[in-house]
Amino acid sequence: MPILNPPASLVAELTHRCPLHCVYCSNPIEMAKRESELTTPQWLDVIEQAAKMGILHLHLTGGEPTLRDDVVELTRHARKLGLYTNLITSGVGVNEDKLKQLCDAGLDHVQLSFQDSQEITANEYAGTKAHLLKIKTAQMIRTLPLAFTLNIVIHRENISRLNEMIALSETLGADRIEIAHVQYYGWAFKNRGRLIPTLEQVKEANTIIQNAKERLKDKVRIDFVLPDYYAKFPKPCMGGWGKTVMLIDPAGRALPCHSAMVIPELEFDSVTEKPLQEIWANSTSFNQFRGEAWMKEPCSGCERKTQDFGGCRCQAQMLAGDASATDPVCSLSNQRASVQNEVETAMASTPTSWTYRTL
Amino acid sequence: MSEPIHARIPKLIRNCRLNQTSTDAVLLMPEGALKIKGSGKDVIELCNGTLSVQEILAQLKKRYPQVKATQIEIEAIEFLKLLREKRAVDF
Ligand code: SF4
Ligand code: SF4
Repeated sequence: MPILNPPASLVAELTHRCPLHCVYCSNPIEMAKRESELTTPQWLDVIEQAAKMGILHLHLTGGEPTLRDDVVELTRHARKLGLYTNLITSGVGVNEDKLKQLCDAGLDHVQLSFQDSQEITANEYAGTKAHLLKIKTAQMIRTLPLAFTLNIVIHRENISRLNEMIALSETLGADRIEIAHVQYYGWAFKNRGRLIPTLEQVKEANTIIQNAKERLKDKVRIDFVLPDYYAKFPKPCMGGWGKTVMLIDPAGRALPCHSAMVIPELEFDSVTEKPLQEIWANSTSFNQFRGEAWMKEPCSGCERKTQDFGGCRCQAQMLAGDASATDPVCSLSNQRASVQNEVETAMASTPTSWTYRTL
Repeated sequence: MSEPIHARIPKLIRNCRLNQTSTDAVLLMPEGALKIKGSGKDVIELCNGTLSVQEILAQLKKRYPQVKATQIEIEAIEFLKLLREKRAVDF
């Protein structure tokens, strides 16, 4: 047995509660209710175990993590144990006081997402009046000594305003801009018919991003996540299953990725029952797709398997109905035509109404 | 980019920090982490946004008089480039 390294990061989904209802939210359709959320002592313990295992990064996310009253306490605890702490927030419901407290507690990095550059549509995609509040939050973040990443999520309906969104991020003083095409999980999967961009849009966005990278070279870092259904090869999902990331959902279930619950054959262990290290090393859900033994053709004989690990297991489940299949996004997959089909159907259909994320 | 590397001023990006455990040091940054060995720590400390590469090299030579100057130059510049590539320092 090769030695199993600890994951580099722990993603702590503190709560699924969120003031927003984004049409592309990647949270599972079946979300954890407030009553089932872990308690403060339980989270403190999980963080302590994570640090002992040698995990380096803690991502506090949700839902909206600042809805938990203990977010400051958890941050302080993590930082005291040497973890790098990252808060992923919608920017709604977090006031200046809370931000300052988080900063004093040692928070290192904040990630704030924007839906659009213009208010009306931004609020439409978020299902609530969030845009102006987000701008306020961004301004508050910038007055504090925090590393600040602004996330822009693009899709068919807002992609034409990518330039304006980049300009907004610049104005708000982000250190880094992460531009990602919507990935079709959770609620986004339900809304994908309206979200999938056209090929022309994808190409145009690539050019805009290249130009922005060039122009902002020494000022702002820009990272870009390609649109899934248009790529030739799949993304190395989660940096490999059970390899670099461990996610704890609000109820304490340990997941190899945020969407793993779509795979019916998996059983998840809970931090309320087992130590973190034991789950990481022995739980069936983490071991199921670790390494390469589970792979089928064409992945098993493909030289890219050490780079992309056969793509995303959840996508294989959702599109091919088989979690061990080659990610259907891959051009070598015999299911690739079904992805093409998805795209074409989406293009041909008249937009239906959004399905908003609700708890 | 055109000016020679010696004149450039490396600066650790915002909220990168060095974490020292009993056994080793890790540079923690927003998008990852980097194991740091030996004198790497000195180089990182000196990336404070005021010293040029030239000045950093001079400092390192003072701190490590037992090491050959050319070796320090080669290794430190290589390390700085690695840090830039990993996006831990800007210069
Ligand atoms: S994507 Fe939107 S709805 Fe989902 S957790 Fe983030 S802010 Fe909340
Ligand atoms: S066949 Fe499998 S390993 Fe090869 S590129 Fe496609 S998904 Fe990756």
